[in-house]
Amino acid sequence: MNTRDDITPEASPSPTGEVFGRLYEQYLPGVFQYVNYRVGDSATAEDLTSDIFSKALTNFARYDPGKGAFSTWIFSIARNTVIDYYRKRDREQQLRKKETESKTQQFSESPEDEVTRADESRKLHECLSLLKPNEQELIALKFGGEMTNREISRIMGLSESNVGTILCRTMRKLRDCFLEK
Amino acid sequence: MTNNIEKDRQLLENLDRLLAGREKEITGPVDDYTRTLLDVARKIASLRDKPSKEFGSNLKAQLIHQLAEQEKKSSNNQSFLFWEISRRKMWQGTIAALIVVVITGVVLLVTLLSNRAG
Repeated sequence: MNTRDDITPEASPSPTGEVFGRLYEQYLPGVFQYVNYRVGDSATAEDLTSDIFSKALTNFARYDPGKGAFSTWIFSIARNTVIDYYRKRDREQQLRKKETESKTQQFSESPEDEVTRADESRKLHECLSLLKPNEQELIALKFGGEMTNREISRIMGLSESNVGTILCRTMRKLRDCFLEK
Repeated sequence: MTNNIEKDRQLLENLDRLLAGREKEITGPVDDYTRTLLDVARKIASLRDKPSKEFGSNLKAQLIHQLAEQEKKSSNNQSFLFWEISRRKMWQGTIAALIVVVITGVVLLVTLLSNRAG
């Protein structure tokens, strides 16, 4: 998270490349983890992370450090990208639902031969899916983005104390959910 | 009520320590409430997936390519702008020179005709 390697100078000698390269190295793990918490699928998380950094690079000239930290800016892009992804997915699911309305679908559970980590991960995503959208968002920013409550408050437009309150409530919900499963 | 607020404050502080990898700093009496919640937090944190190195380097290469394209496009736009300006100036210069030539020609012609008449 705190590595500060540049994009190789010979590949990208421009100042934009150097600055963006440093920020890329620094924020890639957090952004990826944030998206992975939100979507619960690493392949989709990779696709969305690529989109996020591509958008960030396209609009990098418009980023003004005086207006806020880069973390706030990049995680706002990440947040909007995830929201767009869910909107698009919901639309597609509705279309598919219409197409297969008459068919009864039976999904068989896959055999429980996954490793414990995968099982725990599935449980976590099940529990996360039961949370309210703002609670899911908060957990993803906290654990995925490794952000402070103050940073989260700027991204979500809440007060810092409100973030703390929601975070504690959400942790209690997750604990109860984990205990039930 | 105050007790709950204090417990939540303790939880949030310890959560930040845990996520920052400073778990050793979680000291002092931690009650059952905080302990169980911190256990959940540890579990959630342990399930974080780092992006693979392959993904990281592929995305980096893709971004370097994108940056090169952006800079190329921007540089083309600048040279086009430069060409537009110089072409306009060239036209202005040519027209001005033509006007001077025409006026000089007219003056010479009038002078020549008036000399002959005189």
